[in-house]
Amino acid sequence: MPNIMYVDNIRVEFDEEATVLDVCRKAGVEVPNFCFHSDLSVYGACRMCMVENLDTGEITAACTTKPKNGLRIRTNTARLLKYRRMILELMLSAHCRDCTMCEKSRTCRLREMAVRFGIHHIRFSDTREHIPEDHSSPAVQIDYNKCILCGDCVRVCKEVQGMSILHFAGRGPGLHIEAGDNQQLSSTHCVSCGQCSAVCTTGAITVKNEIGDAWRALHDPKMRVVVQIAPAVRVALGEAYGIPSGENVLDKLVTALKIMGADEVYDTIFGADLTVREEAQEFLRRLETGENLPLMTSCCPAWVRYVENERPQFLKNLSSALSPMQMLATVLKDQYREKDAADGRTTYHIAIMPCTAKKMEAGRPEFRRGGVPNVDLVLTTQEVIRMIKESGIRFQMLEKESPDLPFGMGSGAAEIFGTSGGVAEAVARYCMPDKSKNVLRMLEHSGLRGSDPIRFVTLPIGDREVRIALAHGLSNAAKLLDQIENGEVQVDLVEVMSCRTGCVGGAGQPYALMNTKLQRARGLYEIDRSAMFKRSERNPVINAMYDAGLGERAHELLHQEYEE
Amino acid sequence: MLEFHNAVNDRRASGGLTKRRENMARIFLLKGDIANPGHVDIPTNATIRQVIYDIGGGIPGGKAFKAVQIGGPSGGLLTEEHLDLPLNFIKLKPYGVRRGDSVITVLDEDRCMVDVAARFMEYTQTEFCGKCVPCREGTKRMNELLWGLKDYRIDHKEFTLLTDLGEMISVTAYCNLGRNSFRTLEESIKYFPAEFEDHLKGECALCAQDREPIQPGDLPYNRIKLVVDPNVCRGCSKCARNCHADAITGVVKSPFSIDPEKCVKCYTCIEACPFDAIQEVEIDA
Repeated sequence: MPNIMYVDNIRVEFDEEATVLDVCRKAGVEVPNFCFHSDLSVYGACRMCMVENLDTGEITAACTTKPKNGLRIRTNTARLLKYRRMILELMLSAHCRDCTMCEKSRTCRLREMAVRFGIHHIRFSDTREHIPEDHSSPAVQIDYNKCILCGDCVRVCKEVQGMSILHFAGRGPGLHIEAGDNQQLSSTHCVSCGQCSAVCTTGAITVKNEIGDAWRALHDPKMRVVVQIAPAVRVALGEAYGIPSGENVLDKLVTALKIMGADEVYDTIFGADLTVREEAQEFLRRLETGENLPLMTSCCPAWVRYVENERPQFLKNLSSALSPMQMLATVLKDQYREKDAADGRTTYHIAIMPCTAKKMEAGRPEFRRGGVPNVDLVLTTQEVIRMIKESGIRFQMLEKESPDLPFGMGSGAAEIFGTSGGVAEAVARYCMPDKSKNVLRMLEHSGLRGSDPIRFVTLPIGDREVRIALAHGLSNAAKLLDQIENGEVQVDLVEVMSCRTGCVGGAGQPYALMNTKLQRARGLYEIDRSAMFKRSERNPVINAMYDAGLGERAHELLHQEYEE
Repeated sequence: MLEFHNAVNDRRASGGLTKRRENMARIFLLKGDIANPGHVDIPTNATIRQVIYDIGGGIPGGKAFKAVQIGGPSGGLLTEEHLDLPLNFIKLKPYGVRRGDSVITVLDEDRCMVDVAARFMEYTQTEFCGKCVPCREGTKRMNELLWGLKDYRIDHKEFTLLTDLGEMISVTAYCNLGRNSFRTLEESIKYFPAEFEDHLKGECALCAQDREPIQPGDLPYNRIKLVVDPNVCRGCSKCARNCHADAITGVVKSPFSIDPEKCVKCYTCIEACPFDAIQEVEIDA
């Protein structure tokens, strides 16, 4: 017997839904809410999702009520509408109304609700004190005055990332969000993953906006603007223009960037191929000597920062191979030095990333050569979407253009870097001596792919069994490190992505829930399937570069040891 | 003959919070317009009239009784007609009176109810935890409006807004403290509408007198806190999971503890505890 509920007289069957709100969504009724985020725990503070029980007349919050067989509810009675309007009015009365100038204007839930419920007049005056904004972090900026205390950022920081940097402080009228011990964000152990900005319902926490710098460079004739595009960007950017998530829009994005004034557009998968090559060789070396195992990937800057801050005992395990973004950037800046001198221009390198922590990585002193950063500017997917809109480009109608050569091509293995399990799979493809298609198929179903928070896979490499562990979300990574430290598990290779589902779920991407993120990941696997070559060692440009002597300079250019 | 309750908690008592609290120490704080204010142990069968006139010694200055507020921010108001009801919270439930902060505030005939309601609403501002929007933002606005009414600054339209807000909060707030924050005001309007009319018109004779205002709450007598009995607590964490003020912390399978600074005394944890491990105790002076 299925369980039945009636939502606004719509008959809905339910079995696994944990709350009435989920059942309402299933029925196609969008109950308004601020603090309900399906990827996080239930909080129940905004009281917008109140529903009325038709039989008892009782009013309860849909997010904290368990569904019951035979329950009949209404979501839109006169009473409920009146209360909702009043709650909204109260929220808006304690919130600035400078929507035109707000970073999140387009995606703000509070603004969306105010429009939906037609709040045109607030009967209360704003009597709050102004709290200074926090611009200290390289990744996100916090305007505490725009906070509605829905607690999403607190829960994502605690539950998904296990960091608890942002937390509630004070009580009653003085309740507020605080970073660390009432510190600036940059002086806490924040890893810049930016997930707080991704879940923030208002403009309180936003990705650091660096669009101005990008335009300045693009409009400067003295600057050669060279752009690289990360794999995860191409399967998410289209969402802003009605293109389904997971669809590859790389070629259109290249056209758009050229229209906006970029001189050359390259693909980060070239850097990823370099990373795979260097990291896999490092892995094989370590396997042979048995030193510093397990090898831990170092592609994710938030993860590197996490190890530095919280688990320095694992620093020696981190791979010294640079992240794909830095790989491409170093090679590019190195190769363009002569070109710059010849035509008197400066190369300005912009990286389009799904990630806010990349902004932090680009600013790290290790990644500067001769006082110049390898990557001059990191733009997130969101920022690029805004720049395209600002330019008046109709993205859907653009013609396609492929990225430039020589750094515009890469393998299928590099494309899947953007998902959880991708880096490990790429390294495995490189390391396994059997180069047949059967191996690719075997890897596809080996358990490397999937959405389980922590996964263990055993693969035969040469004559030994190699154990690989994967984790996404820093709280899961912390659990994995605990297991490794206690000796509960023995692993040789560890891949960690700080964000859930990997880079496709990065904080710089358009707002998305779990399903959309997995859809994007599937999109990347599809690109891999249609890639000309699937293995990093087959990249002809890289092979030519190694033949021309890159191998001797690899340690200088392509590696970085992290120290305490 | 008045029967005094044994002050030791009867742990075996069960069947809902009200009943369980009924069996706890019946120590209350009597204050307001009363001859003998202070902490009193109230017999189980005493009526409110007996509490005021026999235990409290009646109202000083020969003034007449007007109303009594029981329970502070989450409690309610009783008037002359309720005086012969027993001070038993199971019997008082239909009248919307909860034990709340265990304070009984007696009001004499010269107290203006607008003033009293405003002071109780102000007291609410120091008691709520701040989690849910209706209570955090709503009671703040109610407090502003009510003080506006007291100072003759608001009109009928704003007065309707005040009662609408109260109605909304009493349905949508997260916990009982928030849901009952409107009750004292609501009942003041119900029983004494004339004084609210006077304030809307701009002149109140009662407020014109020069008197020490009513001080709601248990200050400076705040002597009750909730504690977990470490010998009874089995560390199931149910209290902590139910606490919306984040006041309860602990490690599963070992006794939990309550932070009195954060606790709002909504008694949700007492209701949740399957072992009756949480009890009210008096803080030693």
